[in-house]
Parts: sequence; C-alpha cells; structure tokens
Amino acid sequence: MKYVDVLVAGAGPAGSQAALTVAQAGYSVALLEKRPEVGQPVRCAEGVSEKWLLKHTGVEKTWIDAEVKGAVLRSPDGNKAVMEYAEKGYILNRARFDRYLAWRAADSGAFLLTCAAVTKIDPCEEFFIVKTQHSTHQEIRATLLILADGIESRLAPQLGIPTVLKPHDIEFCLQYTLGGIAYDEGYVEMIGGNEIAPGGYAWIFPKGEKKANVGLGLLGGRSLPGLNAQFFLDRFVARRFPDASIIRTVAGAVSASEPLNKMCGEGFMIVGDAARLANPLTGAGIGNALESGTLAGQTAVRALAAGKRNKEFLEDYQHDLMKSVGHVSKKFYRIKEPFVKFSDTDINRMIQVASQIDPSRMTVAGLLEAAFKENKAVLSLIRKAFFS
Amino acid sequence: MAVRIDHGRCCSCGGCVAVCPRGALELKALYVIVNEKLCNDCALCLRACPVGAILPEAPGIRRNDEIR
Repeated sequence: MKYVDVLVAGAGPAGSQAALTVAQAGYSVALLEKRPEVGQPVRCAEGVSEKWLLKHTGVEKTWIDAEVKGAVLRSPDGNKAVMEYAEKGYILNRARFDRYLAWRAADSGAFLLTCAAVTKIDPCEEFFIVKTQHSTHQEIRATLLILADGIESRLAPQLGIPTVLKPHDIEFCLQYTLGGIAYDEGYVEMIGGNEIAPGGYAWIFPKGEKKANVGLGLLGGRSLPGLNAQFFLDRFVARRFPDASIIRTVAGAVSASEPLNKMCGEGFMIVGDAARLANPLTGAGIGNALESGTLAGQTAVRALAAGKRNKEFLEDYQHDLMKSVGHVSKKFYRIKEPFVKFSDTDINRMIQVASQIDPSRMTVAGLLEAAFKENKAVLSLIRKAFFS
Repeated sequence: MAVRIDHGRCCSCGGCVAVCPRGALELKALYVIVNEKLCNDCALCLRACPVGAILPEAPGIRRNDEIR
C-alpha cells in the first residue's frame, strides 16, 4: 500500500493548488483525479480576475483565451450600463489551465493519478485508508486528506459533513462556445431578466477569434423539466446569434449558498466548490478555489510539521479562509436572497440608474445600491456588507 | 420507481448529485449513476438537469444503471 502525508481528492484548481503547496514544502502528496484527463470536460464560464492569477499562478499565454477590461450589463428592455473593472479580467482556457496547475504540482513532487476516483474513506487512529478505483493504487494511506471533489462533493458526507444544496442555493447552468459571432471585444456581457434566465443571468464571455462562451444559469427552484437551462439558452441563442455554430456544449452547476459551516474535521479539510465557496451572486469560483487550496495546503504543512492532525489545529484553515474570501461570500449571500426575487421592472430600473454612473467609477456595491434604490432595508444591508 | 439517466444527453455537470437529498446519485468519471435503493422519487434531479437527461423510469422496463 502506498503511504503519503497528504492525499488530495480532485485535481481542479483548488486541489492542484493544495497539492503544489504541500509538495513544495517537501512532504509527500498524492493528487487523485477521477476523470481520464485533468480539466476535461470543462464545467466553467472561464472568467477570472487577474489578481487571483498574480497571487497564485502567474499569467501564462498558453491558457489565456482573451483579456477583458469591463462588463456590459444589459436589462431585459435592452438598456445597458458599463462597468470598467478596477483589475483586468481574463477568459481562460480551463482545460489547459487545469492541466497546467496539475502538472505544476506533479513537477514539484506531487504524485498525480488519473482514473482514480476515491470510493471510500476509512478513518483510523492516526491516518486514513483511502480506497480508489485506480487499477494499481486501490488503497492509499494518508495522514491528512484534502477534499477537492467539486460541486458534486460526495466525500465530505462520508466524514460526517453534509454538503447537499437546497434548490434555492444552486444555479443550474448551460453554456455553448459559439463560433463566428460578433460581440463587444474586451468586455463580458451579462443579461438579466426572468424571461431570459429565471433567478440567474445570461452571459457572453469573449474567447477571441470570433468565439465566445454564451451561457446562462437558472436558480434551482426555477428550473423545471422542459423549462430547463437548455430551453432558455436555445431561445436566447436563437434570438441573439441565430446562425452561430456551437463548437462546444458545457453544462455546470454553481453553488449559490453560504460557504460550508464546517470545512474541516479530524485529519481533513474541504476546499473549492466542494466547500461551497463560489460567489453566491456572481457564480465566480476560480479565485476562491485557488485561495482555499493554497490555505489548506499551508495548514496541512504546518500540521505535519507539528505532528498534529486534530480538528482544532486544522480549524486554522477555515479561520484563514473566512478572513480572506469566505466573509465576502457570506455578504453576497445575504444580498442574493432579495436579488433573485427581482422582477424585470426592477432589473430595468436598476440598469437605467446604473447607466448614469461613470463606468470607471461603477463598482458592484454601486450597482447594488442602484438596484435597491427604493428598498431601504436591503440598501442598509448592502451598506453594512460593503462598508463596515 | 427511481429515475433513469440518458447517458447520450448527460453532460456530466454533477448538479443533480449536489441536490440529491438521499445521496442516490453519483458522478462517475463521465456519467451519472443512480442507486435505486436510495432514490425516493423526489424528482429534484429531474428539475435540476440543465439538458433534460434525467427521466422518470418507465414501469415494466428492466433497469441496468451501470450499463445504461
């Protein structure tokens, strides 16, 4: 049986980042991916802010498809408001990005395995015995576990932490990568409206060479058989890009919930989408995943150095994470609730007000203030969330 | 009863797995399987699926989820 200091389940951005951090500190780490190829199939709209890349990965041309400097926000009545980002954004090639991160971890000493789904975790006194579906490495013994098994998160429940999402706390998404289309180069576009994407929004993310990720998400409670994301996306694309080729179809689900209450236990930590870290309002998840992977990796290194694996020691990870990005997600969650109840009239009015704001001065807080101009209760919530 | 997954349509997003209150669904490498012993026909997954790949099982049809 193979023995490692840390086993990471899932080689997405969070898992690979955790494995890299542990490997760089000189501890042994296995990085297990259940799929035959890291990064495929993609389940992402692929947008990320430059600040997260500068902090965690650097910027490599090979996995960047396009650069964006702002967002065009469009209301159901066709009005638009423009937001210039304070930091540049990138549209990634996630398949290449994920491969790069996994390989970087492996190159630093992590033991990367594909076709290696974790099926069962047996907690023992001082370690875990992890059963996998890999043909050779069917059992691996690990002192610490980092669970990075994504939105479907089936491993944390085995260790007593429930991760099931309520329908109103998840967005079900579908996206086509369209070819041969025209759009605003350098801007992402987001389109609101209950006829377009009930409880969510539609997006157009430029990928360069007349290609773009065009997709939408529906709030769980509003998706119905026959009136699912595909129905709404097909209708949106037929109206906006009737002649476009569909190069790729990407389905995905994004949590729109608060982060997990408990992200660690005896000997293990939960990172990325599995810890429900995506932004509950925007769905952005890559930055938080990278951050959580790094922090969990750092905590694992400290725990190994101290010879500790108890829950109290690993709670440092959750504490660090909530301080860095978790508290922002919690704030957005409180605003999401009133936001998803918006009627089309509300959205029209929000964009109308926002279109008067100087694009270089518009912020998410400013946009939300415009949105809830006439709702004093929510307005005070936003001010509390962003300014205190 | 339980549900049936149309593997020709499933894009393996895992959304149904995330909302299943019984842990009856599992995303394998590239497709979803159903544990019919755990499924209680709540139909949350039918509503979740972005591409309509989850269907109510027709009575009288023999099931073989691993192969399907």
